Amino acid sequence: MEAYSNKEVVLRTHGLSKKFGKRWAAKDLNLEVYRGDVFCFLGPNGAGKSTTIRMILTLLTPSAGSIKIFGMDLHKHRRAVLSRVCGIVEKPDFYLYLSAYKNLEILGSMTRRVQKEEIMEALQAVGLTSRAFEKVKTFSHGMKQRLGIAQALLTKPQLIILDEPTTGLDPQGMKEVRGLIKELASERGMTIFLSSHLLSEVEQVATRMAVINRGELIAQGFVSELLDKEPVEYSIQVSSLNPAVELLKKLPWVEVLSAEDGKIELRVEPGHASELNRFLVSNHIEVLSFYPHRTLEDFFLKITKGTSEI
Amino acid sequence: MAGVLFLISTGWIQAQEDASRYLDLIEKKYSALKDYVVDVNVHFDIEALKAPDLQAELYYKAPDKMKVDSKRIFFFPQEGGYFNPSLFKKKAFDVRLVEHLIYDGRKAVKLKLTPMDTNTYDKSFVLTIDTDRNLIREIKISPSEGREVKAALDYGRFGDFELPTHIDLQLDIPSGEPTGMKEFTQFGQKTKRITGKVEITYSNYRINVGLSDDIFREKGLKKPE
Amino acid sequence: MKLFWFETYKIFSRWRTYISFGFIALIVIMTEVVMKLSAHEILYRMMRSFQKDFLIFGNVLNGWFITAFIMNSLHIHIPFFITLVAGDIVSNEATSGTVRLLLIRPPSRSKIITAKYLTTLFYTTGLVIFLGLICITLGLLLFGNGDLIMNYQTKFRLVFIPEAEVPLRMLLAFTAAVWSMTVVASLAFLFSTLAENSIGPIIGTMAVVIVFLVVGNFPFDFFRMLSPYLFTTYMVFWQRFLDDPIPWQEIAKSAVILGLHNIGLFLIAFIVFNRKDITS
Repeated sequence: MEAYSNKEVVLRTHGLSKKFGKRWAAKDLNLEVYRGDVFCFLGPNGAGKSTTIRMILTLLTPSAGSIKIFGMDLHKHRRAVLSRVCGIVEKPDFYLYLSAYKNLEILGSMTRRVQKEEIMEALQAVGLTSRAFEKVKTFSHGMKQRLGIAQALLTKPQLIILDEPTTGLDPQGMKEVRGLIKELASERGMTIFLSSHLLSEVEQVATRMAVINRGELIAQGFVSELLDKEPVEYSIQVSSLNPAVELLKKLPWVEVLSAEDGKIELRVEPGHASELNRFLVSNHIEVLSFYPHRTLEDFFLKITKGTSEI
Repeated sequence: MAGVLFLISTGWIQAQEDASRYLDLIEKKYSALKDYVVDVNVHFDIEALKAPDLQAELYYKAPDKMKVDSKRIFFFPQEGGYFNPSLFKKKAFDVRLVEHLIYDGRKAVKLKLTPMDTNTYDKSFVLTIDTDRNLIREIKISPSEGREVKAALDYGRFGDFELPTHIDLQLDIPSGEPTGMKEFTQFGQKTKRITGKVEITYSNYRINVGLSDDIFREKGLKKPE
Repeated sequence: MKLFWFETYKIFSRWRTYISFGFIALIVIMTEVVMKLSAHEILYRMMRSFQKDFLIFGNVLNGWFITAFIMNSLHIHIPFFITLVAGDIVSNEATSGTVRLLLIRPPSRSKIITAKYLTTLFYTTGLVIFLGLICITLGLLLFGNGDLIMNYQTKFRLVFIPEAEVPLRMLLAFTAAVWSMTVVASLAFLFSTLAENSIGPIIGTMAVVIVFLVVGNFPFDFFRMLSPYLFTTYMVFWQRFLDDPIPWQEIAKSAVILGLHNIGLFLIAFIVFNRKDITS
């Protein structure tokens, strides 16, 4: 993580704000996304995620603040910036009366000249080669989503911005998209900025994240670092329940939540996870199983205080 | 008193016979004219009709057949546009002598012709006739609906006949403008009148060529049945 | 240019675009066939007032006459077909959601809106030219060639245009007709920029055109005062090319006024589109 100090900041927002009437949809957002990140933007419904993404993609004009991508001011160097960026906002919509191929040709050519081979390659990457020349109105939602990713990949962008990319997909589709996101970051060196409300999904793909609530940034950093700052709940099975419970109660950094049927639920302060197992073993307590309940969901709900609607 | 009335009436009858005499002379002058074909050039000087000079061939066959043959669209005045010596049959009109005058340096008379039967013919004429040469020099036509047309004729000699080389028509006709929405606010406005001149030039007469009746089948636009 | 061709491709990829052309062809064919069958009656009625004083010979009801006759209804049906496309070209991107893909591309919004506007004008031009071509072609086939007689029904006035002059005058008249229809297109285009569905712009544009036409023709002093400020008053300036003499000053004035309308309407659309927040 120390290496990050040398990494290029691909996307930086400073004081980014957007007001609709009297309501601040986003207020004073300072985001940093590094090259190679899979950066996830989390927040309850109406928190300002889409608003932020739309400002980054120039669909909305910020009320205040600045956006720099690849070190260039977005609004001053719009063309140069957006030629290296691609995005999908909400569900990808295409010209239904045109074929998949034609849609990609038109959209791709707005960035740079694209060859037929590149278009077919992009379609192949998302498994739509056989439907290339059919009209998009015949596509299912999942196919449109894949086509959306194809159009995002077509111009070989360096930054991809995705707004809830797995919305409406079946589990298989979600898995494919997650796999693709990881591949784009690790193998193709792309930086991914995505918003999602599926915390399990974020946990699986994100390297860094930010949490927004009521338009304000309330957390930003590496996923592991953010989670490490919070107490973790564990579920352990031991051979001798009562002695184990008595021992654990003596530890100031442990809170025993429940103990029954050979299973103890406890909460451990950050930084003491590795000590717990050593402590039990050294006190001759046989540990049969040891499961942390450290989840992003817990972290998220805690810092957003369970708010689901603004 | 009766004697005075008798004298006046016989004098009046005498005058009517004199007026008809001029028509008789003209009829006799052109009795041998059976038909003619002539090249026509029409020049319009009317605000309401913007057209270049139009050319056509005019066919006439006595007593009343007329046809125009043109490669292009051709407008021709309904009244007074062509020479028809058979038009003024004295039997069809009540002929009155209006005055004696000098016209273009020659002795002339002005006759007023009022149709006897307005059902068959509703136009009245005032003719100015050169009595030296028995030529109709002017025709003033007053058909119904307030239209007035005045034709001035110039002649040339073509074989045995003196036929018009030039007819100048002066028109003074109501515009017939539709009283549509544009004029809605102008109640009681006088109907606009269109005035202007049509100059018709005749050349290359071919006289008594023996025209068949068949060629006179159509005569411009007709009212649909 | 690339954007312009993409927009043109998109427009002509939709079957709805061809409805306009199809209906125009249908209207023209039906009109000309009916006129062919009722030629004599039609001509008699049209020329009735002149026939009181003039005999009329020759092929009056020729292809050029028919074309001019059909063109007189240009401002009634063509605006509707124009708004079908012009009123949809921007708003449809919002309706279909493609605006979110379109505006995140490198080309600026200015370029995109300009390309769409040029496409709208291109389509309008194509539609009017199509009308002209089909009128003239079918008209000359059915009714033949000849001089053109223009009968101005609101005035007792007949203009005779020699056959040799007609093609050039028709070309000028159609150019003017295209120009007048571009204002309708610009208005629909502006409404399309303001709306997020196509129905509003289509209905709105037609409502404006119809109301302006009606108001401009009311024979009351108050409406006559308004008439010079309504663009529909100048929309028929194409007829002046079929007049004698051609009133060049009047034509230039009408063309400039309509041009100013175009510029103004496009500028508003341009500014609105550039500043618009895309929230859908």
